[in-house]
Amino acid sequence: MSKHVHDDRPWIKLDSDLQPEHAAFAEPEWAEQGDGAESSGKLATSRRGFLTALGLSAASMAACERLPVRRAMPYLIPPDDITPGVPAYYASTCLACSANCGTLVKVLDGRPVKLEGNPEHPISRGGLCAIGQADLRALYDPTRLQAPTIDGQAATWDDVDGRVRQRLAQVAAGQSIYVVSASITSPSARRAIGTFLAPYGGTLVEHDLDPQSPSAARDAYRVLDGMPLQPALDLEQVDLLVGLGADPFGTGPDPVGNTAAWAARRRAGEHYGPPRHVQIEGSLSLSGANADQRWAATAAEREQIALWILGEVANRLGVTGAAEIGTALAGLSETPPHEADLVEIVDALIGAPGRCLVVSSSERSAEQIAVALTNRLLGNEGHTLNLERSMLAQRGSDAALAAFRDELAAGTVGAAIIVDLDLVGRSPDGEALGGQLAALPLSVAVATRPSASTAACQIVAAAHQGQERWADAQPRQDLSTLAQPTIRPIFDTRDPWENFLTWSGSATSQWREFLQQSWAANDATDWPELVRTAGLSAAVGQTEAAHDVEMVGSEPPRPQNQLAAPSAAALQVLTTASQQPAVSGAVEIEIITEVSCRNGSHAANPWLRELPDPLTRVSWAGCARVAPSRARDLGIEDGSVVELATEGAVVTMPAVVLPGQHPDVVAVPAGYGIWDEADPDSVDPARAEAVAQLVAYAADTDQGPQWRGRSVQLTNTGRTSVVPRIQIHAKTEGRPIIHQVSAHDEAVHVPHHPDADLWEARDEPSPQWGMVIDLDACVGCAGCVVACQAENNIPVVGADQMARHRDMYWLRIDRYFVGDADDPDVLFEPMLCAQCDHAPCETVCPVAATVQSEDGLNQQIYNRCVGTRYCANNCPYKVRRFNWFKFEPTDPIERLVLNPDVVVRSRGVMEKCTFCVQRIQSERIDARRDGRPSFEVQTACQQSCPAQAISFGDSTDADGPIALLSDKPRAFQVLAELGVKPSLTYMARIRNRDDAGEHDTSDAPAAAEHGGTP
Amino acid sequence: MTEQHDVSQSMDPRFQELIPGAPSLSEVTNEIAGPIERGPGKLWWGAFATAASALTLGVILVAYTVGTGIGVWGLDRTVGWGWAITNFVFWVGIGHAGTLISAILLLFRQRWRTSIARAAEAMTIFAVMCAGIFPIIHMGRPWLAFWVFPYPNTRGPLWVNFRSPLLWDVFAISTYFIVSLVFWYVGLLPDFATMRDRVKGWRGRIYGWLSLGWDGSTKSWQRHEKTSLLLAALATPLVVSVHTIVSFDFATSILPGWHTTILPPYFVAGAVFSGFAMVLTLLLMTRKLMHLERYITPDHLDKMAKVLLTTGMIVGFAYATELFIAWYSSNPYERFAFWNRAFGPYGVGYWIMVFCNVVVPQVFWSAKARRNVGLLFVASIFVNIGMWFERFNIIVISLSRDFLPSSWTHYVPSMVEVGILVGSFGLFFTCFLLFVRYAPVVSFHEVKVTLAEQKHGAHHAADEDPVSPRSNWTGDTFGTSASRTGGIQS
Repeated sequence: MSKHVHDDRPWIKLDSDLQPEHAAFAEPEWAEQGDGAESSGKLATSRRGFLTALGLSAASMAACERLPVRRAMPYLIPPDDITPGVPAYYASTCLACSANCGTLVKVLDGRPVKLEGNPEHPISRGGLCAIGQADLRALYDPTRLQAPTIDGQAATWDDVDGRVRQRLAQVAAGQSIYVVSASITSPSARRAIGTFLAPYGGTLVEHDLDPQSPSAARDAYRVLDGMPLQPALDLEQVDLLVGLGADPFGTGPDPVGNTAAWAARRRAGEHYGPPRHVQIEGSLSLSGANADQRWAATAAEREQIALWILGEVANRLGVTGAAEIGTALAGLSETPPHEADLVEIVDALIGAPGRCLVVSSSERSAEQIAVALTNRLLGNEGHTLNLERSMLAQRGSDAALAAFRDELAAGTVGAAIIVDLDLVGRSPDGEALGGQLAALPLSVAVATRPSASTAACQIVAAAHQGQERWADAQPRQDLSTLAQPTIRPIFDTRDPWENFLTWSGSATSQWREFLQQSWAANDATDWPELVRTAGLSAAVGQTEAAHDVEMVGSEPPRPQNQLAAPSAAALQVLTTASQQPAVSGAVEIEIITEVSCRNGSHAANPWLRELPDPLTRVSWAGCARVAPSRARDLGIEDGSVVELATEGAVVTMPAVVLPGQHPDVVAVPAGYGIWDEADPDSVDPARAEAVAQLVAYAADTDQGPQWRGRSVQLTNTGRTSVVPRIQIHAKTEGRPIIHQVSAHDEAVHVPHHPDADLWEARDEPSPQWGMVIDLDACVGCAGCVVACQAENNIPVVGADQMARHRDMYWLRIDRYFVGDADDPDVLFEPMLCAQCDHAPCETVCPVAATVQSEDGLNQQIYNRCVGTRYCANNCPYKVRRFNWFKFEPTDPIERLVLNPDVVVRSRGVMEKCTFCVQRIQSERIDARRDGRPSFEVQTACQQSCPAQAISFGDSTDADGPIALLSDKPRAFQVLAELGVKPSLTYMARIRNRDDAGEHDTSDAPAAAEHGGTP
Repeated sequence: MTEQHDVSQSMDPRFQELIPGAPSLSEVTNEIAGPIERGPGKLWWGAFATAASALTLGVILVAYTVGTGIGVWGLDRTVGWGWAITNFVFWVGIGHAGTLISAILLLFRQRWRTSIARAAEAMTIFAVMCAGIFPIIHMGRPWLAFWVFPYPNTRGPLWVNFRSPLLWDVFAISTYFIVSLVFWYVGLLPDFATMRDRVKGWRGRIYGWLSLGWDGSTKSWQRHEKTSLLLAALATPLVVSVHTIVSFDFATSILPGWHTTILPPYFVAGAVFSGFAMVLTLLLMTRKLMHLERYITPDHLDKMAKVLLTTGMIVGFAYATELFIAWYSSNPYERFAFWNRAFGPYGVGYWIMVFCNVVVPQVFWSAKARRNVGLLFVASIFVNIGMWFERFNIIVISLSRDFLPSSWTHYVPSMVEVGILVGSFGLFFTCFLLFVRYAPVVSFHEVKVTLAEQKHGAHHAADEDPVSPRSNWTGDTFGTSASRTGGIQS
């Protein structure tokens, strides 16, 4: 009955929540057997229903607020808005990273059970990445901080407040007060901190300890225009994208938004010509894997390339300032490698003014200035590079952090409050820092999880997790959104920002009230309406302007830029480039972030730890990535333990051989080695130390952190270690199981196989479910994998079981390397149950535990299964997963994450993708009740995909997406020649490159030697 | 003695030296029953202690597996069947020789089988028992194993999936086991009666029960012979069908390396091959343990070695055919599966198989080798190993690298799996040692028939019904009176 609300306002799905009070219970809610007649009298959504929905939001807000319970009694008259067993969806904002994507939180019986992307959100467009999806697991983490502590002893919040106020009062006049936090995108939080710090003249320091930090890019604009800013990429307008080590789709700022926009652009290639992505990088990144053309270059070479491109562009365009740039670059005598390619790229850039984009993630100032100037000269600003919409995410400042460290060392700090950041565990010389913090008059750690920092600080203010919080977020200047809590706090925790209101003695000590006031001051929209839409209904312009003025340290919008000669300062920076020492002899180290654990702030989340890296396919462990040719020279194989010797330290860690890596680059992921008090065995302590030392080495330079390009001695110790790896064979072996095509000829050429069939044709009534996955859109980000895990109660099996190849993923993303091992094409292929019409698994089960449904699903009946595993053996796609042990969680808190709509499987039974049959059933019941002949379903993977690469629907519907896409020349089915009649179709990857078709999936012999052999 | 010597010179060459020295009937009885009555020697105790220890280990490890989960094995998402199913096929294969010897050789009038048939049948029973354990314990939920039997039930009723080769296995193997067991037991009845009459006290009573009140009457002998004949006829097709159906587990799947039409004959030949090798191993041991050199003669060994040589060449031909067809098919998956079998990460297993199954039996072209006990023993062990590897190669190598390279894994068995295999050998040898200890390991009555034929072979051989001597041979029911049997014979 609430279908119309669903249609009108897709971000909120209040099925059955809008019913008149008694109707909900007078009639059976679920018309299981299609008895639509009896419920046909129900109302479509009326104005009244809509108002009820508004009331619901307000009511739930109150319910989620942490207030003293005044009275508790069972429902005598149940509230309208809660029907047991019927989910409600609340619009909110993902707080897991500073990209702040929009979410819809599915709440069932008082607890969130699934996070979905909010399709109304202008940037994330309904997509949600792996980290966002996994934030749900972080909520139900029994190892979270459960109550505040003082000096390691349990304490009440009154004690904490008393102690903090007392110590703050004692802070001497000469001493300073610091709040050190991960990047804060919440304008209201900035206000709260500002209010708190103002009386003391304290300082807010933001830092993310993240190699992907855009700090240098912001600085480039400061040097150029006197104002730091990080322009948003408008990838939908881009015809030619040149990436210099940047990873916009994987680990850079806002990967979901970038992926969504780029996928939209690629999809539009049919009409506007295919876009092209050239990537030049040291270590293979997710973005590099998806590039049309890619080659490996060291950090110094990339800098040289950026400057060379700038010089060429300036020279060719002959614009104002070209001469000065030429002079500044005069010292640059060498021509970078791949000159022919570069010349062609410069031609293409000049041929696409305002429709191209050069991006870099380098921390080298010269490179960033060169990139910014190149974009400016090419007229990209205002078109593909949006200066009006500066990104406010990840605005960590190296200088500010260094200042804090200096003062701390000097002993002039009176109080330090560390928020949401394991500064001690992830900093160079963290031990000394911990000692200094412990010795302060007041040190407070505001955190959700135990860490080295919480161990070092006197007071630990246990904080709410994302789903328990009220918050706002402004990841870009033109966008402010709200987050609402969807569960009463599980533990005795407090909102991180409420601490500052309480301690400052603010008039409004309630964080929600403060937030509401903060928004009310800027926006006239009714508060319940704002909450209902997660703030997206706010008048954006007002929000932006009004919020920014008061914010601590935020940048006002910068004026429209004119093409002018670069300043002398900028030219000066350009000349520093060639003075950078070149790497000689040793290899250079590149500290990278992995898609799953990023900079380590999510390394305690089991869903993310288990999630295999899309490129190395390694889970649970951080491994040094070594190029095939380097590995061959040193005798390194997957799992070899290598030694990385730096000036200060010698560290050992396992290695993986990664094709596409530059031979002179060894890449080390920064995200591993988090210190975990609750489970110290979860991370190899030696390895933790190793990574921290390398990160420290990279960070410890005079010019700020240098994540890429410092030299390191790489040696093979000859020892090996077990590396949990989901995929050990990297190549297709020339098999026609995945295809890439050139932009000129999109047809997939596969040998025709006669459609012989010994079986009688089955009746195929509508609907017959089918899925199409567009490999051209898919970037392999693995958001779908975690979405599936959350939706379908996929257990976490642990590092040991992963090493034994017993992953339980129903949906995995196969990764293949094609072509030369040093210069491969990378292909991603999401693989899930193809729901074959002639399923080979069905015929072999002795107890008929897997059978075909009328709507074309291959069903697995868990309680019938005796576990012979014959079905898995006979599955050509190897998508069936067996419960080797009892994998289901036992901890009562952990179990809250289980989706009650999906069976939790016991030991000894087989399981596999169901095409989210619970969603199909739910929609089917609704449709029957409402008398609709057809209905649409979104699977969990499809919902989460930022690129919208997955289409799902009824394949008998001639106008439906499945039928339309399956007819395209790019469509192919994997192993269709076996006659299994899969319901899963793929669309080939397009490489916008002349020779792409020739490559297809054949393997050059060189690739055979490395790239992973079992 | 002189007289006997003369007789042997004049008899049909077919019967020559089957039982050398032509002992008297009472000598036969004494020599076969003697070791049972005397009690076990040190060698037996040593062997039994070893076997029982292995069995205990197996029981503990099976309990551990069932209690904890199949995850204690080395299997993974790609290799769903490994060690356990290899052992299953291996033991089923071994279980073939017994029935082949008892039934098919009986129908083909191979007199030399009489001394070895009983032991071979016992081996079949025990091997099938060992085999039957593996499909049950390899299930994820073995406590629900009874769901594979089609019977009206309270679960719906839910019926089994008759399309599944695993279900056919259930039928084939349970049928085979039951028929083999009955055949073996029926053959044992007169001999248990002999033991009953020789042994006093409670042990005698047990033999009495086991002999089901055998009275040695002509009627009983007639019924016994008819039953034996019928069971032999029933068992004969089973010899072919069991391993054919086991091969269907693989042949009807879609997996490259499994999906081949050659598998049924290939499996049957392999089963005979491995079965004879195991019979040879066991007989060489039993011969020594129970001092039965007179009944299990070099002639027997010679014949069995010839069977090994023949079946070994059949499997060798099958290996070559597989490779040729894989190449000839032009199917990339098929080609890869066989290339990978020989040259992939498990290649050493393939070459062990080729060496043991194809190269080793070639020594039996030499008549000397066929009668060399030591060489035979070693060769039979080699063949056992080779045939185990054949099954491992087919099952694990094919599974570990199938269609999508992304899913390829490398299976390594866990110590639990290895221990369970050891345990299955423990079960097998425990049963076999108990059998040789408590039951007549050589069939009294059949040897005596053979002996009679040996004496009078020249006169009867030409138009002899293969079964008739048995039915005529109603004497020696009690196994003690040579004169009585002699009287009836005349």
